Amino acid sequence: MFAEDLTGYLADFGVPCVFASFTFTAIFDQPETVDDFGPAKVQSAQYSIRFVTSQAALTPGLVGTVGGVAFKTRDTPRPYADGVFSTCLLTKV
Amino acid sequence: MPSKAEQVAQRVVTVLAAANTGAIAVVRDRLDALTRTESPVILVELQGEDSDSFSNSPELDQDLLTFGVCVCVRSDDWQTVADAVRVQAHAQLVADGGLKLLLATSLRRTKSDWRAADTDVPFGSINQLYQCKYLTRNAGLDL
Repeated sequence: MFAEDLTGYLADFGVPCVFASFTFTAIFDQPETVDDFGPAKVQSAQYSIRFVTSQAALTPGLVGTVGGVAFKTRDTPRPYADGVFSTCLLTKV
Repeated sequence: MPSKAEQVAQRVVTVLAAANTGAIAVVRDRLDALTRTESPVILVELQGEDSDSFSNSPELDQDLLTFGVCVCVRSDDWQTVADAVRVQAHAQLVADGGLKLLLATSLRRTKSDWRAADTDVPFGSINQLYQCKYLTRNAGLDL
C-alpha cells in the first residue's frame, strides 16, 4: 500500500469549511434541481460538500460555514467510492 | 359559459383567495416549479369528472367531479404549518354560499395525501381531494 496524498484533489477548487470543531477544505457544489411531487414541481438547490472523511465527523443539523457562507448539514455524510471522501448535503441558513 | 366543473374550480379559487386576502397565493394550472419564496401556496386542480345518465330524466346527466386543494409550504415542521392552512381552507369551502348554489349540499372531502420533497429548504404538501355531484343537460356541458 502507498500513502495517499489527498491534498492535490482539493487544491484547485477547495473552499475553507468550518463546522463545529472541524476546520477542513471541501469541494462545494450547488446544482439546481426541480422535484416533481405530484400536483406541481418545486425548486431546490442540492448544496453539498465533498471532503476527506477523516477530517470531519459531521452530523445532521450542524451549523457552519462554507467559504464564509452559513449552511446547515442536512443528513449524515455518505462515503464516496472507497470512502476516503464523503459527501454531505447542506441547507443554506 | 364554462362547464360546471370549470365553474366549480373558479369558485374555489375565488373563495380561497378572498378569504386570505392575498397572504396565501391560490393558483391553478401551475406548470413551472414553485420557487423558494413561494410559501405557502394553495394549488387548485380539477382531477376527473365521471358522468352517468340521470335516472329521473333522460335529458340530464349526473356528474361526479373530483378536485384537489393542495397546500404547499416550506418549513421544518411542514405538516403542522400546512395543516393549519388546510383547516382554514376547508372551513371556507364548506361555508361558501356560491358553491352551495352550484352544488347544493354534495361537496365532501374524500382523501388527503401528505408528501414531502427532497429540497434544501424543507418542503411538504397536503393534497386534499373533494368530490361533488351536480346535474348537467346532456345537450351541453354549459347548460
